[in-house]
Amino acid sequence: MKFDVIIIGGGLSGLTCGISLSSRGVRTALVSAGQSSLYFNTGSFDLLGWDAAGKPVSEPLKALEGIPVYRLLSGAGELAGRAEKLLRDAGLEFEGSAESNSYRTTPLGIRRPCWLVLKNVPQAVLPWDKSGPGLHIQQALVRRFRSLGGLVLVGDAARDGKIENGRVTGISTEKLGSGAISASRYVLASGSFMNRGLVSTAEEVHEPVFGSDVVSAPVRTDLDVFAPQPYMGFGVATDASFRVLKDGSPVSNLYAAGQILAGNDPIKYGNAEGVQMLSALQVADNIIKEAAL
Amino acid sequence: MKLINQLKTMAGENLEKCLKCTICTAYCPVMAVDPMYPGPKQAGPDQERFRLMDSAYFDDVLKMCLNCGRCETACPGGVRIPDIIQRARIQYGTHAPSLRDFILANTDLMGSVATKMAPVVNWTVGLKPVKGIMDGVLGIDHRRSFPKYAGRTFESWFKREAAPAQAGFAKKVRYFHGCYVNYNYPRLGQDFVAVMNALGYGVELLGGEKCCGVALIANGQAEHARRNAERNIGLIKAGPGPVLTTSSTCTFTIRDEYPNLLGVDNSAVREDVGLAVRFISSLLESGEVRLAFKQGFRKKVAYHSACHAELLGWTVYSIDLLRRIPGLELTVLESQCCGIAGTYGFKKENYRRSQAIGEGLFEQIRTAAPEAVVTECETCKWQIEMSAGVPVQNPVSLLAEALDLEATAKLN
Repeated sequence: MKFDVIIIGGGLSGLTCGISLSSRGVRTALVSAGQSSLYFNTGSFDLLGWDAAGKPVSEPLKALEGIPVYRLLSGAGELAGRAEKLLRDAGLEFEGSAESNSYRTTPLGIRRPCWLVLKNVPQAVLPWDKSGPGLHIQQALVRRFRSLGGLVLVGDAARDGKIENGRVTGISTEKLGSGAISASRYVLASGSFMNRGLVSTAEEVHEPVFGSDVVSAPVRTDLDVFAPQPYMGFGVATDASFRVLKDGSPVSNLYAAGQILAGNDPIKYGNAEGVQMLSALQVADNIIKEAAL
Repeated sequence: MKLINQLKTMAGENLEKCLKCTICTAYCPVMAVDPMYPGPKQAGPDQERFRLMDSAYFDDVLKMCLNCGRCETACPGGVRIPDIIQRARIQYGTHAPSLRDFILANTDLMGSVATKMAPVVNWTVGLKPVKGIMDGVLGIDHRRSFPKYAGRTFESWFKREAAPAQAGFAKKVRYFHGCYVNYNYPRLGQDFVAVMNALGYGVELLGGEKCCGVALIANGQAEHARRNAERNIGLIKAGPGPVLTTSSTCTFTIRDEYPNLLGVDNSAVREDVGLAVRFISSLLESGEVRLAFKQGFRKKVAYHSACHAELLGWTVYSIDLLRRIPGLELTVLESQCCGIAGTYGFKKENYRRSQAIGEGLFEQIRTAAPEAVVTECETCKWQIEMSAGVPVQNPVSLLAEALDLEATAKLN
């Protein structure tokens, strides 16, 4: 089965990219090993909580200087507005805006800055209702993607990506085998260590589907648990258009979005969902421009 | 030796990969309606640690698991949760199967007897007093409708009416028909033969296949299931070429349950066994065959992803095939379990839970108001026909209905 784009990873990035592409008529399939990591979301999205100097941020769009990933966006303010609209069109009601952070109280009593907070999470009334903000968000986004013609292959793992002459020529999946699905372009939105987007062994960190170039750190023998831990920033190397690098060169039809991108520390900067959604929208735009679709 | 086997099994089932994220539990259809069930995470990887230490930790509450596999589909770590639970039931279950469980699971025995007296049997099991007796004495819920038995088995029809013509085809496929087609609904097998012939493929039977054994496994008769499995794999190995099925559960059982639960090695032939829709969809994709449809064919249908079809990951082929039918108004239903889970929904102690699990799906179907629901699973068919009041067709039967078979044969 041939598609215009295959997205690997069904989290917030994968779904955002898929919805953005499908809404513009691009035939898109999404492959997800397991149900989405959105399940863990607590109903609050972050755009930027602390700036590059570590100071708390109250107006995110004014403080993006020096923040990894955001530097590669064509216009963060515009993309953030489109992200908010995408969520609304999926039937999700959020409070808040990119212009200025609101604050949530955590279970430990600390005030945390955030971008969007989900309103009106449905409580489970009927037996088959699912409650929980993350599940609600995920189901709304999947429904939206499918209603736009997107295909979701859930519980299937993409693997054995073939790259020949600087292009992806095919992938396999665990349940469909090799060559069953293919596309002219691919998006790697496979998350991080927990989602198996990155695999860490005692010797190295690698990206298991395509063997993309990974930005990590040398093997450490001294482990100071109180020092800053750089692994949060490990990820796949890309060029300025979010194209994945392999052996130092960009793969012409493979893009990366979301948590898998190198250089960002979502906890330090408080920007997890912002990076996930905005990079996904940028990748969708880049694909459409490049393919003149 | 026991420890090595345990470690191997654990490794295969990826017990250690469980992160305790609990996504599986959020997607379990049983947990959604019945808080007495501990859920896949607890029943599976959590309790397995205790069971490995001491088998006394095994709890009968594991019987509530549908073996639908939605937990495995949801798991980001690739833990084979249903296998952990089913294997624990096989290994540590203490009760001998009841008469009811024997009757429900021994489809070959019941089928061969019942087809000889089909009109009498069908009429009898429909009678209220008989249902009352089955309920009170055996524990088969009186509200459950029984599928009707056919007057003649599919194998008997095939040998007499279809086999002679099959020799004329250069290309062949083999058909694992399963007990439902054989004893209850030969029509589906006939549709399969008609479609494959129109595509230029002759059909051969395996010659003495037994029920795939899924009901035997679920009802404490794993040894019997193993014997069936050995026989079926032996027959599959004995001949060349693909073995196609029209049942998602038979496919899943032969490919995955045989090695994972019964320890029957099928590695030599696993890739040869697959759903007919996948085979046909691949032929169309490669351009090897073409289809000609009836003029003006129109039908409004809704596609239901049976749990095991979703677990196989192959609903994409069915949807692809259905999308190629002109004049078909297709709704793809949101994937939800129908609740019957084979013999599970026949049991008095499970009936209400089954119906509660399926209610979400029935509601979707009522809203979509299709002329028919399309799905690969025969027990989903019984459940949806009974509970949502809509006829259910296998995709192969729908294809047979939509195709101009003669014109298609000319194209291939």
